[in-house]
Amino acid sequence: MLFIDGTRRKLVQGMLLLISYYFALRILNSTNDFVTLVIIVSLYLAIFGTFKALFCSFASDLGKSKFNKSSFGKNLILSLLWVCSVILAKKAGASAWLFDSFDDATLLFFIYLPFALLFAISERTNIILAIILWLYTAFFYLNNFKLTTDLFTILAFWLFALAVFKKFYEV
Amino acid sequence: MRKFAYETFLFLTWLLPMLFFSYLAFVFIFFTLFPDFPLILNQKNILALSNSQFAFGLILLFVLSFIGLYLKVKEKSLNFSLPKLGSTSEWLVLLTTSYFFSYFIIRTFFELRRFNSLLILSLTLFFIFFLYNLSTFLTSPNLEYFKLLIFSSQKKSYSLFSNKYHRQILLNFGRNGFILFLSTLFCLVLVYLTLWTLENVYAFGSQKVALILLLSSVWFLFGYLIKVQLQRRLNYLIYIFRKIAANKKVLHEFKEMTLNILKSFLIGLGIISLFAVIVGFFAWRLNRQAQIQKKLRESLVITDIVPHKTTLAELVKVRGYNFGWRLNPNDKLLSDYGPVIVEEWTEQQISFRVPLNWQVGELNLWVEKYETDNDNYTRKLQSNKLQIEIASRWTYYPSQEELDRKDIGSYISRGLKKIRRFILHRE
Repeated sequence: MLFIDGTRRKLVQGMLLLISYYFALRILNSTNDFVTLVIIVSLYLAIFGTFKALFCSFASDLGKSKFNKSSFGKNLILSLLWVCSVILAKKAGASAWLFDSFDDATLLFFIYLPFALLFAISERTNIILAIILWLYTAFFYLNNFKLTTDLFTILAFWLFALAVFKKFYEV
Repeated sequence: MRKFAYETFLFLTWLLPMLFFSYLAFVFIFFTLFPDFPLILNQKNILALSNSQFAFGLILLFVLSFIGLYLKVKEKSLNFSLPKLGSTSEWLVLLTTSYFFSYFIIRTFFELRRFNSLLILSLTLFFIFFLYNLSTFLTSPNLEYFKLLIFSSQKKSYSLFSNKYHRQILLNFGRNGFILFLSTLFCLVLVYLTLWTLENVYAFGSQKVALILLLSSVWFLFGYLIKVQLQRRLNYLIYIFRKIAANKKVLHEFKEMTLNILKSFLIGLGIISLFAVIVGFFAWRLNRQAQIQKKLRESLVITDIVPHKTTLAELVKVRGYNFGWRLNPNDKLLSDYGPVIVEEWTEQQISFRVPLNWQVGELNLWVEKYETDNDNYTRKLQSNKLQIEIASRWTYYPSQEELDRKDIGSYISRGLKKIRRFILHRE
């Protein structure tokens, strides 16, 4: 968590946000809806600089690799074409041994893989992304959003696994 | 005008594939990532399109972008080139993407299983070349023409920032506009929050609350705008106009510039409206088609009879949705001649052989199914009716007389019938 900016002032702000949100819910006697929850958790993460850390880490990955403007765009288009090709191939029943064994989260990770490969995403970025998903998972779990909880848990697991594999490969 | 049409077409060859791919990817990722999201959006319907519809759309877009690519090569702003990729991972992604696309297209259009792998392989090779050039094409949209059209004058060029008064006016206008936008947004958020609190906490009738709050907010905003913002801006404009009017040259330039801005604005508006209409039309058609598909998939429906024209004792497949398990003995496939003996009954296909008692001509086919709910209440569902044409057996098979004759005419006739039989048994 060293790369996430958690100063004392931000800690107080974050705690205040959560406490006020909790009391607002108690006073209004209402339950969390999905959108409000996502907004609150996003704000909480933004206060702690998690998103900033993610974007900085991604920018640093791009800076380290030999990208220029045109190859960045080309890789982005290739990633987009990859997403569409996976959707269509799954629809047509291609590589049933592969796609049939995937749940939704694993399929999303499979869609994310080329993006990580093409943009040479480092293990640090993957871990920050996994931590973000982890925190969302915790809040979804507390608020009984079962499907999203499962999905985010599996995604966070895959991202951690990817970071570990990448580190092994480098070592 | 010809140049404008050409550039617009070129831009569309870039825009439409980009829109389609982005839209498909966004819808899929969004709905897969947030399964608990409570909004029911029509956009999800695109995923309900059938494989053949997707394939047709995909081929259309590929052809369109190929034309765009060709035009750009002709302009010499791009080159067809063999893939030159930097790393193994890029090759891997390109290869797999090409394989997936080719597999999808081949499996959608061809049933000849023996040659499938060969076709997929050759199409994959084509796609490796094509997708590489397509990614180059989609990365570099040419918007120079439209930029020139909107931001420059045809007669005499006046830069928007050539005069300090102009610059001052524009900067002030931009700054004040931004502040106005932010303050309006803030007011709207406040109104929304108050509305929500009154409705949920104090249980006011939502219509009453909305009416009171919206009216008061609108009046408040209106008053605020008139009193503070508009008055201040008017005073400022009057001051600037007085200064400009003192100098005739500056006044002339200002008039020219205003006319140019107006002209550019109208041209820009025209272009944007044109694109909006075209894109909107495509999106509307796609959504409508997808909605029809979704509706079809949710009801008992026959979509196709294969082959549409056949003869006695031949196998016919009735395709559709929601045929389900044949649990009730009264579930049956019906024709104008009565119930038909079914060979195979699955969720999306019913197969039968054409009975020998059917007459030559057209007749209707439909499905009747009984559905029982938890309260043992049974209701009868009936599908739509589709026509099948029964032809004479001698349309497909040679008669004894033809077999006995050994002249050229009989050989040609038998050859033709053989081709017909091949087409009939193709499925």
